[in-house]
Amino acid sequence: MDEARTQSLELQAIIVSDDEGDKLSVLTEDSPKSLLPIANYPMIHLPLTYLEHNGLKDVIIVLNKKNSVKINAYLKDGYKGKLSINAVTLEEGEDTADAIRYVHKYIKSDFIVMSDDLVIDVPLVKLLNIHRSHNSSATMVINHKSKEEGEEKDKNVALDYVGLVNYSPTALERPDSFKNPSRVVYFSPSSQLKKSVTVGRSFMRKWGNVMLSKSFADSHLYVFSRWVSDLIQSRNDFVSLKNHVIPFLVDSQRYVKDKLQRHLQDNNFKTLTEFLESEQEQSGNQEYEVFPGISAKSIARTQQPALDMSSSSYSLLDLVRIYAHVVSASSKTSSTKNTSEPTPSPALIKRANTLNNYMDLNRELSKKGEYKLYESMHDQSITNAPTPTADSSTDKSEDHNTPTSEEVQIGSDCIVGKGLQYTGTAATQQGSRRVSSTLKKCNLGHNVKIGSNVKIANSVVMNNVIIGDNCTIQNSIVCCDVDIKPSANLNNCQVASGCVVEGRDYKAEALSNKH
Amino acid sequence: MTKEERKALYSKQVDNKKTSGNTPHVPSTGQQPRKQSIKSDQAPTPSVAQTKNQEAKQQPSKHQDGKQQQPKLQNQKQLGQKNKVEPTESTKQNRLFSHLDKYVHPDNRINTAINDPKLHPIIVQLGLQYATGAIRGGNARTLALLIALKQVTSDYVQLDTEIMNRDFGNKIVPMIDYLKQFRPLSVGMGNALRHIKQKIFKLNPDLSANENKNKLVEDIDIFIKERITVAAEQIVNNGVARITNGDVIMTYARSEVIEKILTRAHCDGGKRFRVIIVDSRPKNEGRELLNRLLIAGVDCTYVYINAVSHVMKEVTKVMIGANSMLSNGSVYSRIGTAPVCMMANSYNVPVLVCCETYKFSEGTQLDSITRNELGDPHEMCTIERNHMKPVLMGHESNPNIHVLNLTYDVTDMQFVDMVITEVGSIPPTSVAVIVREYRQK
Repeated sequence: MDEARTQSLELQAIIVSDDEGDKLSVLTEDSPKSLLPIANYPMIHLPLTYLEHNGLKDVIIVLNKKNSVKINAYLKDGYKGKLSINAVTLEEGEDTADAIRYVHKYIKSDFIVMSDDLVIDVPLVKLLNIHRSHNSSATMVINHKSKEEGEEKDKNVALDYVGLVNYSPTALERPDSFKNPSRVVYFSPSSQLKKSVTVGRSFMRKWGNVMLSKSFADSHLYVFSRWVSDLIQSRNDFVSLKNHVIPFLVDSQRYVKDKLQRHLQDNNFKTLTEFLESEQEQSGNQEYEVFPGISAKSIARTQQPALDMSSSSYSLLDLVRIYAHVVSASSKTSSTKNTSEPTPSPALIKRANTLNNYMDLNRELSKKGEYKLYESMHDQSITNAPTPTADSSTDKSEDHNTPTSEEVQIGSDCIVGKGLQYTGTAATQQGSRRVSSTLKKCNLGHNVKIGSNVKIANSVVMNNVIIGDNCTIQNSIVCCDVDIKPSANLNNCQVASGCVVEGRDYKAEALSNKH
Repeated sequence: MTKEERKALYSKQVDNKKTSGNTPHVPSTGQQPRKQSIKSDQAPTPSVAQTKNQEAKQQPSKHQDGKQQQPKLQNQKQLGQKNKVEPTESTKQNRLFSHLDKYVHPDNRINTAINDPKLHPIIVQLGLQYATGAIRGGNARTLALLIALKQVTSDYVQLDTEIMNRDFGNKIVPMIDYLKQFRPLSVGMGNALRHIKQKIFKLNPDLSANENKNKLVEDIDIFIKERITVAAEQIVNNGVARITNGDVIMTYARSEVIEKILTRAHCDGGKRFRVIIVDSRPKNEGRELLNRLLIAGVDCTYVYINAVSHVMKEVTKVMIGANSMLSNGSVYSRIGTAPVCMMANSYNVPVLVCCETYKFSEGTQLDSITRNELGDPHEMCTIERNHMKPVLMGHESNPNIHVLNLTYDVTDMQFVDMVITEVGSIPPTSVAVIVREYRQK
């Protein structure tokens, strides 16, 4: 980036890889999680589309060592968007905070951190308005799940505990809700599996009215102030953003203001501006450090003098602020709204890190016309996502074998890649009548061969899969290069790449080819 | 107008109301239609520009009597039937204030783009800080603008094809336009900008870019120091001298200079006095002043503007700040100042206005309507507690309610007894003299 560009750089984007255990098990045997297809686009395409759509021009992607080759290959050849990507491979450490530490030298302004499996619909501007206008140190997107969504299939998945101050659903409906955003005062990530929440008395005295709930879900989209990267740099024990950095920042809101206030009172300063100016004059002395290595000066904004004039000086000492943009999942709220106004569809915020979420995302994004942001994905003719295996067999993609509707009935919300072939034999056991195959609510990759009487429902089938006659595939995920023998029944299964599936019944199994 | 004509007119209006949903034209005298055409010439918003221009075009060709209302009404009716839009905030018009820029929510503004190459990040943030009221008050906003300009200057990279004294000014223009979207520039900000632009123009093209940048930053610093900081000091000294023991001082909303005078008089001047702070909705700025005065230990009373006539009998002086002083001696200040000053006048209480000279304006204004600022109507509709739904919820779609949130008003010269500036205490008639002197500089 040339110098002139860096002048107006307000926001940089970083995409990190979150290794929260291998919930996608067999699917990631051959292909990195970020390249698993959602609606026939590699997963990583989605956060990139989001950033591009919201006006960002460059992005830094941090890759793990084991995945970097394949993902780099995709970024060079397969990615057709307009972002200029700087892909960095993490040498040591594995998790998100390590990633930030690794790219610390590239960070010159406030930065946004996204997880590479995050599919989100919330306009970035809303988040940014809160971040800019309130001098926040970190702004996150909190998804307020309604009760119906909460009682989902993943009952054994631990949820985050989030405490918010100043949260009111009615205020959110107002167009000027960014003037009064909710503030995050308690954050306990799901990985810490707490059964009970303990807070001190000082916490209650300071915050008063707190709304603590499990139905606030953090979506792993953060906008951080510049100084947070310095903080992460100085603390080597921070490994994960969500588990370490965010709880630390949220907790530090409690004591930073009091400490600074006491310091000012001890030295007889009335406002933060006076204090900072005096620090400047005594240039030899050490600057007051809010955290070890982070001076108050680097946190306080340039506009401090003007801010001191306008607002109460004590609220300005609140140097660390974590705000949240709360997105309410339920859209059918107030009955006083006119019926002529279109009810907004619930925001799409989902991470493709569990099997259920992965399937759900495939379903959601195949609905045409639902999510404007990802409209371009429905134009399947543009890209041909390269398969993770070495050869992308070009001789299979012959269009003259495109099956007719008599042979294969494709439901309306299916996404089918190129080169679908129908291999059903003319004569079946029912005499001269051919039984067509049906596809309902499924996503098919490229070069899939389907036999006769095949029923695929609610599933994801990736590239180069051969499905024999009389198969039934339900609620399953079939990876690339799989050979499914005739009369196989897959129900709730996951089949890894390169497997050969025998022609029998499978229920809720994960088939791997690495025995 | 005959009775039949009036009846026909009235029934037409009732029909019109039903179809188009706009506020009906009230046929008063023939004068009003002409006034409208004058007003509509003053840059109306584009959505209504066409309707207004159409009306303006029709009027000169007709006679000045009530009958010309009818073609207008017909026009409206046609429009109403053609478009059939629900009246939203942007299409409704309050006739009297239709010439003022409507309030646009920050989300709906253009240029909240990310990493816009024409805008420095500090400017982007500044716009939002203006919009949310994080930075408010004449001095604070001007100071913030100048600090932002200093930052922009320091970060400016001069390309080889450019000469700073010509191009830097052009670079600043889109930034100022961006800021104007959030809140119109105050007079003080305009004066400061004009001063800075002059300095930019006078930069020596032979010097290197760095030297020029340093010089410009220094110039901005000098302006801040001379006309804001030191000026405030002078005014504070003058103001403190005017407070006597046993005074009861009334002030309205919050002026930064008044706050300094009162705290200085109490803490350093050792004077015994008490303060009555008059405040009003929706901004409630007096609370911030109350906060700070209490911390300083001043004896305060806090009332809302409806109690002004009751407390005025105890008041010995009224001291207010101003957004700007106009050349005809009027004070352009936070809305509500005018009634307070008029009340003081009727109780024979002296009114002192404290205002720095950089806020003096060459313009004049006779009423609070010709130039004003419209604020967020939602501010007016909400009561404090967050869990309550706004009282006037849904007012955007109701054609019978128009929420008007004016920000400033004009207090006439006769209600002001003295203006305290850094050049001395002058009567309001001398404001024009000061403006002339600074212009010649």
